[in-house]
Amino acid sequence: MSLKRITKELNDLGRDPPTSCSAGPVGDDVYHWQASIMGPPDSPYAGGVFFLSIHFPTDYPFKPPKIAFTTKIYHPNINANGNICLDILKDQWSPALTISKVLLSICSLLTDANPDDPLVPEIAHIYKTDRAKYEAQAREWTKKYAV
Amino acid sequence: MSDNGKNHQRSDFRRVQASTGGANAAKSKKNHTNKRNNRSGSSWNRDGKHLHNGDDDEEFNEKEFCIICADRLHYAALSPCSHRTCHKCSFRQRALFNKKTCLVCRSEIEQLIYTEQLESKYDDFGDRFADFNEQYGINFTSREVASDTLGLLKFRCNICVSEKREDFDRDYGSFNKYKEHLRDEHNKTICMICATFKKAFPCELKIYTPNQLRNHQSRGDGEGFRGHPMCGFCSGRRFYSDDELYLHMRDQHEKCHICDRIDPTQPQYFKNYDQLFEHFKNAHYICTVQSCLDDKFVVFRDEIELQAHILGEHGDIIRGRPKLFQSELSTFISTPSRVIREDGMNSNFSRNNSGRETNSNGSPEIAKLRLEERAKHYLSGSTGELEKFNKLNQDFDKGSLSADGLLTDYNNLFKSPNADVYLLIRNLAETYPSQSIKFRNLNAIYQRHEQQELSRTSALPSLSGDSIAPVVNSVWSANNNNVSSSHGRGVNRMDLPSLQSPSPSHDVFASQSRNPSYKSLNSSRRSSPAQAPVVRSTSAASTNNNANVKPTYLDKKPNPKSTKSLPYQGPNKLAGLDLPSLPTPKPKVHIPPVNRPNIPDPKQWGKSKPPQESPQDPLDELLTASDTSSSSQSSSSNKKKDKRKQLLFHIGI
Repeated sequence: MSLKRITKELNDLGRDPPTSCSAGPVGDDVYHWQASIMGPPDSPYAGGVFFLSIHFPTDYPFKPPKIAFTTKIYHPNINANGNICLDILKDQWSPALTISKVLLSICSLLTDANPDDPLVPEIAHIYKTDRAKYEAQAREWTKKYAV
Repeated sequence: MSDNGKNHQRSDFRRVQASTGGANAAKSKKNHTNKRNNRSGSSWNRDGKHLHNGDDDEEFNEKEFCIICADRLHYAALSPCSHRTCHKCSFRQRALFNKKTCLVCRSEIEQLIYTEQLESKYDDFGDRFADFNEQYGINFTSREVASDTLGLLKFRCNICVSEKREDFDRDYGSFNKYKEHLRDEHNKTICMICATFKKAFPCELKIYTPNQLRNHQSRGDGEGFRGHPMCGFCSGRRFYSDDELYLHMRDQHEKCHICDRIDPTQPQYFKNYDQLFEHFKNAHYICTVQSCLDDKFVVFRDEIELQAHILGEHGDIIRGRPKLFQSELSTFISTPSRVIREDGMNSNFSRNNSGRETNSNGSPEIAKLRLEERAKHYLSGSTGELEKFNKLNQDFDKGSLSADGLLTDYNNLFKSPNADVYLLIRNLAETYPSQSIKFRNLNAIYQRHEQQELSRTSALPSLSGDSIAPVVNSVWSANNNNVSSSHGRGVNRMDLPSLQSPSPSHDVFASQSRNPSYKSLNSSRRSSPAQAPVVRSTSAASTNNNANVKPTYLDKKPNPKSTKSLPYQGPNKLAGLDLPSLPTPKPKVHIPPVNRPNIPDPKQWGKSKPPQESPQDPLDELLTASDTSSSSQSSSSNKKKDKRKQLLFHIGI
């Protein structure tokens, strides 16, 4: 069940690649992908290329894929291990969602963080109280780890 | 949020699991590759037909396929929200996951229509259906659809069906009975873990021989399945996936919260609180007061935290019996060994889970990947231009194209407004070792661009223009290729005060060039904005500790005394740092602690300094320097000095 669906997503990605992100299997394991996201131009992550790892559960698409950043990033909803706090990756997952759509959601999470449901409360606090400091820090991390 | 946290831990359970079957570890690794080959081989055979369909599906109408499982539609499941899936996916959601939400839009659906008319819509049907299932809220447009759909839940024996045995249609009613039948009749079995958790219809479960089942459970058998992970403490107990194992570990066993704080990627689990307490004793700092022992989990990461706890919570005990407590404490200090793994947990750390380590920013592989992704993005996936780009890189690699030529070609190739060729240059540079000439050439281009950007975007009002900065910048970047990014520069500037240690040959008259910097940074007193950029560039150059400093400085202020002192910087780098000509660009607050250790040989001081200039006080030093700023000589500034000293202390304290 899952293999066919993953193969289809891979074909679709090749045929119609989304702007500003890409994804594909690592080696010959179709269940383990690597993805990349370009930092959105209107965000402090502009200019960075961020890599993510994607693991498909065998029950995909009935269970969400496990996605984590492998590039360090300064963001209230992404922790030091690269875990992403995003509802559609947990309880709001829908089997009709695809990797391409999820990556676009992550892109928009980079542009608009959600400090009210933070994974890293310290960053969320700075985000809410001193936006300029947050942006400077995010830019610096981007430059340091993602350029 | 907490749910998300469990993701990163899931792969660690495998380690826990593997630790018990330590002997098998090496063997399983070997088999791992075999299995993978087998898997891809067998799955391609088994699903070959489907995969082939999948590849051809461009020719087919997209509507013939289920958007969930990508399988060809047999019967359609239609929802009032006008979403369509195959009957299997929809029925799986309703019957096995017990959810009534639409698979596409997540809205709650009370009644669905399952039909064999694939092209029809939900509203096409009135309210006359061939059959209705109340339990799942499904209307069927024909009895065949109903029996096929509900038949998915029956425990029929696949082997009997395929062999067309007499009672092939028999429903065994439960997984247990089905398993008994398989064992008695066919000497086969099913995986009961999958049966319970996989949310698969009985007919979808694979049938194994006992050996195949062992393989399936311990190592997995294809389709991305790596076996059911086992709990390292409950012998032989396996879980459907890491998620289930995590829940079990969380509920039944104990995790060391101190280790978790130290390194969240390596959770340490213990069978029960007794084992965890042993670990606390060996690896961390526990509070040995009886009430805290009874409370459990009163343990600290280091001695300071423990002492803070003791002072805060048990102040009376300390006052009463200080000696006793002291001695108990010292035993902890003398055994600081961080024993991480308890008995039965000596697992293979080598099995590194995530590969994050290899993904550090610095590796050439990542740089190459990043370069490709960036180029692909800038060229919006155009393969022709991407080939051109690769060709350029090859030419550069072969040496037939210079770094500057490459930049020009990049500029011609990347026309998109958001394309930053300098970032490409930098990524390309990082694919070469940092000592190589190619890296240096490319990095020089990037650094030059960065400097220009910086001086252009810098909003400092004191910057009068770019006339001086570029000169110094080029010197800077040429000498300092290894400093890779702009925050390095920021750090340099932060460190500047350490350069400005009181030097033996220090002469207050010679240090006029300090004053602008002093002022520009404090910007409180006399301001001379026109001079600020000069000083700034000098300071930037001086961080390099390089002979190139000299001309810049000397051009500004020819001074016989400072020239005399130049030999100091010759052989010894530290002596070079003591140049009297160096500026003092930092706010006063930082200076005392930084300067103090740098006080040079007192003998030297005596030679070049009047005795009343106290060499011990760097504040004085600085003040004198500032006083001489506007051509007013130190002889006339003693009064002012006192006044300012007071002011300074106000600020400093």
